[in-house]
Amino acid sequence: MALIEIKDLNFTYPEEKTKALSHVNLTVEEGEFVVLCGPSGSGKTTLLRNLKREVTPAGTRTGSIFYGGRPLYELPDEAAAKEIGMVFQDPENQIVMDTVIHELAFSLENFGLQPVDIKKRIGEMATFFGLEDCLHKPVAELSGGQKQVVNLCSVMLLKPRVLLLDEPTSQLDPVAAHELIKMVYQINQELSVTVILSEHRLEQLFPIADRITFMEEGTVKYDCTPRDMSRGVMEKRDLKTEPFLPSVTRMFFYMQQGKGGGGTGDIPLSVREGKRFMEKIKGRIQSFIEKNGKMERRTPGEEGIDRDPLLVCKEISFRYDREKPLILQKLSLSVMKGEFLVILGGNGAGKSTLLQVMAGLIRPQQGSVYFKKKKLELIHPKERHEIIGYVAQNPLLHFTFDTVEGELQYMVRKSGKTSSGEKTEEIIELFGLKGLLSRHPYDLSGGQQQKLAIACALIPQPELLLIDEPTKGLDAISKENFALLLKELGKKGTTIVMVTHDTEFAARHAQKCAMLFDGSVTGCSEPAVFFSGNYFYTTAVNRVVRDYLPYAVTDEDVMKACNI
Amino acid sequence: MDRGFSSVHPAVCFTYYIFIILFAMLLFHPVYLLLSIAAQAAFLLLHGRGRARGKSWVFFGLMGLAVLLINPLINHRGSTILFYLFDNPITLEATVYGAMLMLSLLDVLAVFACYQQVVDNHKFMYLFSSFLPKTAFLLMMCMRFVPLLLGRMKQISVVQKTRGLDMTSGPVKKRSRDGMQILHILITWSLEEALQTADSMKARGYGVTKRSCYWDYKMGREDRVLLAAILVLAAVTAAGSYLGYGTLAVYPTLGAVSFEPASLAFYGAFCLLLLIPIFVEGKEILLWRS
Amino acid sequence: MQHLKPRLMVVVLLFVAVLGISTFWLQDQYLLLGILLVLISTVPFFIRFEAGKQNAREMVLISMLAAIAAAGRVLFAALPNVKPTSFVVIMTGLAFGPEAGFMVGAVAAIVSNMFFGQGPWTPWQMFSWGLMGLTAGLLQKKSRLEKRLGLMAFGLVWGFIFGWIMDVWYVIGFIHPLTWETVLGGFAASFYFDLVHGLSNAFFLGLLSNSWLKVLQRIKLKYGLLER
Repeated sequence: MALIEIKDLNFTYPEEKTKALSHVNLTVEEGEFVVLCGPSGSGKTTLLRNLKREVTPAGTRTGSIFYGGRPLYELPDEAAAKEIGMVFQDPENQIVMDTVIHELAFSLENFGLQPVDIKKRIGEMATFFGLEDCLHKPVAELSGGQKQVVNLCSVMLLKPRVLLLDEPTSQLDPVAAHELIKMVYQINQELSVTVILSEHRLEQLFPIADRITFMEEGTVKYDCTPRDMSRGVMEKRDLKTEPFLPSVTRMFFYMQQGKGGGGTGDIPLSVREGKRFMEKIKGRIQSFIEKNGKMERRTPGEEGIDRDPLLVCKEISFRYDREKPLILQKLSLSVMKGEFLVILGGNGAGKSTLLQVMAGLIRPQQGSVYFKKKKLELIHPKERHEIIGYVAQNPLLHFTFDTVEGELQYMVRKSGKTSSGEKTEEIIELFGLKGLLSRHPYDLSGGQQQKLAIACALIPQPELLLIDEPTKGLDAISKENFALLLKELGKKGTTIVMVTHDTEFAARHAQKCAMLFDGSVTGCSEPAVFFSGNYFYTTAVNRVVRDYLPYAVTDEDVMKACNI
Repeated sequence: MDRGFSSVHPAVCFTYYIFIILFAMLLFHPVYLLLSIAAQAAFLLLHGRGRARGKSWVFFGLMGLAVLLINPLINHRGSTILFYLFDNPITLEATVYGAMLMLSLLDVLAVFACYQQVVDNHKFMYLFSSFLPKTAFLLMMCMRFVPLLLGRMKQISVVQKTRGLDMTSGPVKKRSRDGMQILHILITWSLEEALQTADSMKARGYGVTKRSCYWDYKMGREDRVLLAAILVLAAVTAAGSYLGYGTLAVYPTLGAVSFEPASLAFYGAFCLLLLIPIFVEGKEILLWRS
Repeated sequence: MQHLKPRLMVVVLLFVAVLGISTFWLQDQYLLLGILLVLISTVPFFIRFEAGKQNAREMVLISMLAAIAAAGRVLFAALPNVKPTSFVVIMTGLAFGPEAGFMVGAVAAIVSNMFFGQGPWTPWQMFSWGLMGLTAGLLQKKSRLEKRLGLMAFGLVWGFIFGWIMDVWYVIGFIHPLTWETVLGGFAASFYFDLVHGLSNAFFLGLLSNSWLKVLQRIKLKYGLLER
């Protein structure tokens, strides 16, 4: 008997015309690891929330959900809350207590457990999750990744049979995301807990998931093993779903097809499988290289880059407090006019700090930043904030009005330029904000909020745009659209500096990449050179093909090199 | 980390400080007050946090000074006139009375400072969780939110500089308006995010059944011995106070500070009571010295 | 208010008991007496809060508002007489009713003092901020605060009441003898500070109350918390 059975589920939010879920049928067996995938707004969260009774949104529902053979809604309250656990997207917002141990105890207190039992359970579970050392720490001192582990642990303390996770890694950096997925996998394997996890970063999940359920516009589009799904997508030439597949899978499918190979053999889902596959077709590639000569490295839009430096950081050092360690250490960096520079770096490397220094929001203790050879602090703040646009990681920090239009108009009023009016129309058009003008900024989706924040920063017509981690939490399609938007801005002459964890995005779209490590910038060069020199900090595709095509960092590079 | 007197069971510490605060207000007698102040100061120094809130102590000192000066100025009772100020008699009794009031105020403040070192917020919550569980839980949530909000406030202040909001410069009116604007963003943002907090609470079964309360404090043998000692010594002191040993007669004529055997015994009992935290701290220091 | 009555009786009885005991035993212990009475007067609200259902959203909302009121005090630490806490508490009372107003006020006092230091003033602050939220909520129900001017006057007056209540613990505890002159003297000494507090209240209420009410109404709708 299936553990969860969803039969013809339909769900409509109040005051919405279209269904958020339409005719969803799904069966999940005990112990399965199901990955729920799809673009944002496809109904993943709505589906998960329908499975978790306590947080089911208001709206009209038809169809039925069975849990263990009984209708989910007939389950006693206590059993429902205990047996189905749920971890949400944002690590910060799920925590209610101020120290780790109290946060963990919270779930058990809710069920009236005695202190002795609580202590025993926390004892064993905290060990499983490696939390013993921070039990008495205030949660404010934990990193985002650790907070999410605490949230996961707190849910697992109730010994659930089903674990629902709603994009649990979207707010984490790649390393922490990796750790969390590993932990979930371990829970699934060792405790045989059924896992339903929604996510749009599939690179890591493809090799471990039992099943992928791909959703689109409220319906289930694919529901099969990762391999079958990849084959299905590629054979059908399903361009809408394709960007969600791991780049290695995509690349090899095209290589196969280019040679008229069709879907024979196993499709590689990971770097390891990709390398093995490469071994198999080694001969073909080598003959190809011999024929066409060595692959030339990609020089992205070199012609667009003026050779004048726009902003120069000269040996800047910064720390937040006298007692705290240096975050930036004699950092020097030049941003050329017209280029699109991406600064990569690990968690806590100081990427956001660097961007704020470049924007003149915080002043370094040593060294200076020059904008067109003029010291940044000598430019009047009002003018400075107009010529340098800055968009924070969390776009909500920018908003003060209750409509989108209000935000935009405020920026027009503030800039006081007559040309801003027409310019604004153009920006609204470009960012696709037309239909959203009367909405509350907080009611927009994450991607839309990001766009609005950037649109606002663009209204005073800045020469330099600084963006902090804009692709966090965006799905594959939104990312592509976002990249197109940045290209469009670049064409219009805006210099863009972006900091991110997202190596794939940087490899595909940046004109120049730099790495921030230990307080200073190293290796500022074009993506092909930048990534081919790295061993771990590079794209999956590059890791697979580096022995043959060292300068290929994206699937497109490989395609081009092989003339497909 | 808890050490010394703060590692004693919170209920014991709390009881102790309730008595000490009561005595600071009830015992209007220079010997008692001076002993208490000395003990609190010694404890703060021993605990190594004497310097904390240095600025507030300046303010407290001024408050005490005001008390010291105001009493003889507005109160002309007493038989020993020291001198005349603007035709108003300043009496010895009123001056002494003012000085004692000042000592009492400083004592109360010092006891509170010690109390905060020993009974931290978690322990306070633990004590109240048994009879006001929901309120204690509410306070715990606030304690989680305040540092979170302070962090968010910092982020907002930096980002909003791009829009000209700056609380660090300008006239008071502008600064307070900018500050309120930051608070406005904070409230809009945080209340929105807090919906997810409520969901996470519900998802983990909040409200399903009556809550229990997990705390890791155990009443050990040593704690019970200390509690007994505190209760006995406090009872003796209270009895002394009831018999009139705790108050120095000021009006109409200043009484003498008594040093007869009975008074000395009561002073001694109070002194022992005051020494309890120092004793516990000292024991620990000796333990770790070797 | 029907169900509040028995509790009110209990409080009145406790008041009488404490006053009675004090006349016999604790002569002249005004400070102790005052603290006891102030604490007792907050008891019915806490009891009522305890008796309510466990509602996650309500808990989160109240604690978040109290935390914001407390954090505001930290933000404005450089401008000590401008009290954003009062503004947040009044807005809470207006938007969510007297009980929420009281809880947010009282809890904000305790929580902010966890950062500024507890002292004999804590109960008095709990009492005054609680009462501030309560009266804002009550007056809103009677819809006397429709007009902005009324609201500003309310803020101004509360600036003084708050200051006076805060003067009380100092005056009754440490200024003897307690005469009308000394009490008035105490009030006069704090006049300037109270005036700044009151004026800043009025200034914020006049300028910002509409936009804040909009935010709070929106939240009320989102949380599904409608007037009970």
